Amino acid sequence: MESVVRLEDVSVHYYTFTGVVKAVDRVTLDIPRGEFVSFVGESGSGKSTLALALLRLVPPPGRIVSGRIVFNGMDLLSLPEQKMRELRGKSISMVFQDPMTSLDPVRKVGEQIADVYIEHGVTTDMEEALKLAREALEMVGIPGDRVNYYPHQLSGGQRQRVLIAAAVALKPSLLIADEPTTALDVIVQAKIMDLLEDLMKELKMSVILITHDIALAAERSDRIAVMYAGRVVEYGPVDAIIENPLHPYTRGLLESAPDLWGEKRIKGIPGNPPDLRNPPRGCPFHPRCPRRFDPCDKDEPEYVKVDDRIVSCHLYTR
Amino acid sequence: MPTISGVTQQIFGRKPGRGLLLTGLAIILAFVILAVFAPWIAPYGPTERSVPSSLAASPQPPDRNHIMGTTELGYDVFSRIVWGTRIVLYVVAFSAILSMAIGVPLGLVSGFYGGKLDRILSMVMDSIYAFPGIVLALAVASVLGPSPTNAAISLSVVYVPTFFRMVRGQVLEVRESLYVEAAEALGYPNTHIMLYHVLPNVAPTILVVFGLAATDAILTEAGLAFFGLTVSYPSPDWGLDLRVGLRYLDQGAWWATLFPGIVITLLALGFALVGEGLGERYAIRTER
Repeated sequence: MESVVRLEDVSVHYYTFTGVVKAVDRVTLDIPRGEFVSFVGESGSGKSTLALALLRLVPPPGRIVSGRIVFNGMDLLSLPEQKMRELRGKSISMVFQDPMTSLDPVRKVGEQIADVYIEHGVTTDMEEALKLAREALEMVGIPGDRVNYYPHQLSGGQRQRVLIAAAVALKPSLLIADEPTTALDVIVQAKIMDLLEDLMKELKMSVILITHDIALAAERSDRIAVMYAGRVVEYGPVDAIIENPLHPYTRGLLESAPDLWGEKRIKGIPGNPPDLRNPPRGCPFHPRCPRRFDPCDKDEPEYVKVDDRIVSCHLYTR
Repeated sequence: MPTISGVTQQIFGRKPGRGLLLTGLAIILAFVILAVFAPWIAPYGPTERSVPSSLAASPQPPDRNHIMGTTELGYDVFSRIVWGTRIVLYVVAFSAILSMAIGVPLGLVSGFYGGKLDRILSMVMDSIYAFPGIVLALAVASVLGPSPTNAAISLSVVYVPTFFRMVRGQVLEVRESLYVEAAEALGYPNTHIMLYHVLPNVAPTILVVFGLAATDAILTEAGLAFFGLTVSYPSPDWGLDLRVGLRYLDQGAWWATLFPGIVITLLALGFALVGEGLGERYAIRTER
């Protein structure tokens, strides 16, 4: 299995006035090429920070403090900034959460897509770049003549399509989508997700979806990584995880999702996520875990391989 | 690129601040016309003895030939005001444009990159800003020596920090916006982000500050002229005429000071209205 990105022991910390926040804590995993991988977790679990770390765009006071991110054989963390910038938008792209504010309000959408071609040296001619932008728009299902529209003239779904068009304009091998549909209604959400899947096949990309919606992740992904308190607690093929969650947190998450027929009671997980400036000793989930036992509040669980999954829980350490 | 109709729409469209903006622009336009067509509008030259030499020893009140009266040397006050518009507009435009050309790029870079450079620039600008404008302009102008261009340069020193502070503040805000983050994620270099994303989004602020700086520049220019730091008498300049007129104000010659005073106020009002109108339109708060 060839991987497009491999994370090795990646930690991202925010150095705030009130202490060091371990937003991403020693994450290790492989993203296979051509697959659709979702990172799920609640707010503050570190999934967005992890996505920004892949582009080396973690905003200050955050910093990637350790680890390796191997993308197509290169360690991104040791590349010079100039080289990293060339990769952004060309080999690794990102689509953000809020399409309403992710486009520059004072420039036409066509120009904003055309910029990608010009800044990455595909062409120096604005006319030519606008022609390519028109094709990119058509690829995401927007009529080409909308190049002359300003963002405010488009709907939320259309704006997200424009942003996707800019992100995939140079056929990147990895597209990171950070909650791309949170600000959109369900119908538009489904269409945008369809578009992502189509583009993935057409351009042979890998997609990383960041979401808190485990149902959405289950429906669309090949693999799921469940994050809690900066750790990936479980990672594996989607069917296995949904049918038989190994980690108690994953189980709790699945039991918290409502089902359409209302036959199942929503359980929820008692308690609150921990303060990441001062995480609990041992397993970060142990204070809320229904199955905690002896070692949980003392030793931090290592990653364990169970079939084709990895899980970080003492239930499986021996 | 903005189209012609887009620009006219921006200025004349039914939006907040339209009345202020149009009134202000009309006033400024009127003075620009005076300056450009001075030889045709002014009945006399600025230093032409326009009365018979028997009357020339004392200022004459307004009459049919001299609608704003004459000075003690027999110069026509109205003609001097018309010709003086040229100097005033030159100094004001030069200083506002120069301070914008310096303050805007500095504010842009300082706000965008932050760090040590930002702290140093901010401290320098704040210390300039701490001086009262007219005192600083007078000091710089007297060092540089009297001339319209030097007056413009010394006024620029006063307004660079105004542009700097407003632009820097806006840049800090725009810099945090998601579209800048998205542009970074697309691998754009910082110069691209500054020129194509940050600058256009702070442009309305720049216009408003331009209006405010120009307003202030008119009053301060009049001050510099009053102290003889722009042109030397008998070249026409409103501020200078004001001071010369003061000499025979006690002889009852009110017209030689009143009319230059009115035009100074009127032109300042014009720029102030434009600044206010733009501020209202783009909802920009200006702390001065």
